[in-house]
Parts: sequence; structure tokens; C-alpha cells
Amino acid sequence: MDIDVNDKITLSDDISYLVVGKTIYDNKTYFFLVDFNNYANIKCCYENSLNHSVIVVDDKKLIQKLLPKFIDSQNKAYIDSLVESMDEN
Amino acid sequence: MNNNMNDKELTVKKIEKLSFDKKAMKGFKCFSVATCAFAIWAGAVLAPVSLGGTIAIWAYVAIFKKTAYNYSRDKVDELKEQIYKEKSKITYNEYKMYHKQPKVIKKAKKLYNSVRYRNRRGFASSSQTSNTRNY
Repeated sequence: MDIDVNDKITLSDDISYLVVGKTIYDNKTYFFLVDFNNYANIKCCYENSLNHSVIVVDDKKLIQKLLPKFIDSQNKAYIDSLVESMDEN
Repeated sequence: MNNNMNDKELTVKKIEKLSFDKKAMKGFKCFSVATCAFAIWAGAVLAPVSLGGTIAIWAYVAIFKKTAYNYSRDKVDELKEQIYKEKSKITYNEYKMYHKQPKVIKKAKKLYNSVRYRNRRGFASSSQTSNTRNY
């Protein structure tokens, strides 16, 4: 599966989510998803590439660990895009 | 820790790329530039050709019209002569066959009426045919 930040994914619950964050932790790729129609509905999940699915994480401690990583990844992605645009110019 | 039994598995049905595709944008920019360049080139090359073509067509039409008009004039004279010789054997429809231009038709009609008037006044000769009315 090739899921990246800013992708729109539709899961088997027939809800479309925006991939807000992506980070690798403990050899797993985690995603931070926000429901398109209900921003209160957020999900933290990791990729299961074998079944072409994502597994929703409910463990609060794990989510607390992951949130700063998502923010860092977003910042890194933003800085990378800035550098890339500067290179282009 | 993260392989909790309560974790819910959801299948990914569809992935849509909403991220800004820079490669596509580059391609679009190249395409736009190429299109603009082609438009400018086509304008520069085709405009004179188009102008020249228009002038050529205009000149051709003008010359042809003049020739056609002269031809019609000749035909009118010919018919006029014929009418006075043959005492109106020719009908108005036959004028129209030769003359499509309004001015010529008007002239021909006038000529036809004058001949008809002459016939009505008793100037018609005995050589009248069935094409003309015998008053």
C-alpha cells in the first residue's frame, strides 16, 4: 500500500479519511487519520500491508507517544517541501 | 503493546492522491508554454497568409463580378437586338435565364414591357409566336 500524507482513503466502514500524519515507530508505519465529514472523528492506525488494511489503535499510551512523532514528521515534510521549492527556484 | 486484541482492522477500499503533484504541474507548465509558443508562431505565420488569402479572394470576386456583369451586358444587348429583330419572340422567363443580377433583370423587364407595350399599341408584326400574347 502506498499511503502518504494528504491522501484521502476510504476504509471498510465507508468513511473517507484524510491522512494527516505518517510516522514509523517500532518497525510499523502509523497513520493519523481525520474524518472528512466529522473532524471530531480521528483515528490512529498502523498499516497491515499483507491484508491491504489498517489496524486502528486504541491504546492511549501508544497514541500519546505517537502524536509528537506525527507533528515532527509533518514539520520535516514541510521543511523538505520548502527546501525542494528553493532548489527549483 | 500495539498488538492489542481490541484493535480494529479496517480494509482500505480506496486511496485518492490529494497531494499536490509537482511532476504533473511541471508537465502542465511545459504544455502551457508550448501551447502559447505555438499560438504566437501560428499567429505570426498564418495572419499574413490569411490576409493575403482574403485580399486574393476579394480581388478574384471583384474581377469575376465585373466580367460576369460585362457578360450580362453583352447578353442584354444581344437580346435587345434580337427582340427588335424578331418582334418579341422571347418571353420574360428567358430574360431571367440569362440575367440573374437584379439590375439586369430590372432592365430586361423594362425592355420586355416596352416591347409588350409596343405590341399592344399595334406595332406587333405578323411574325409573333405563341410565346407572346396577341392583344
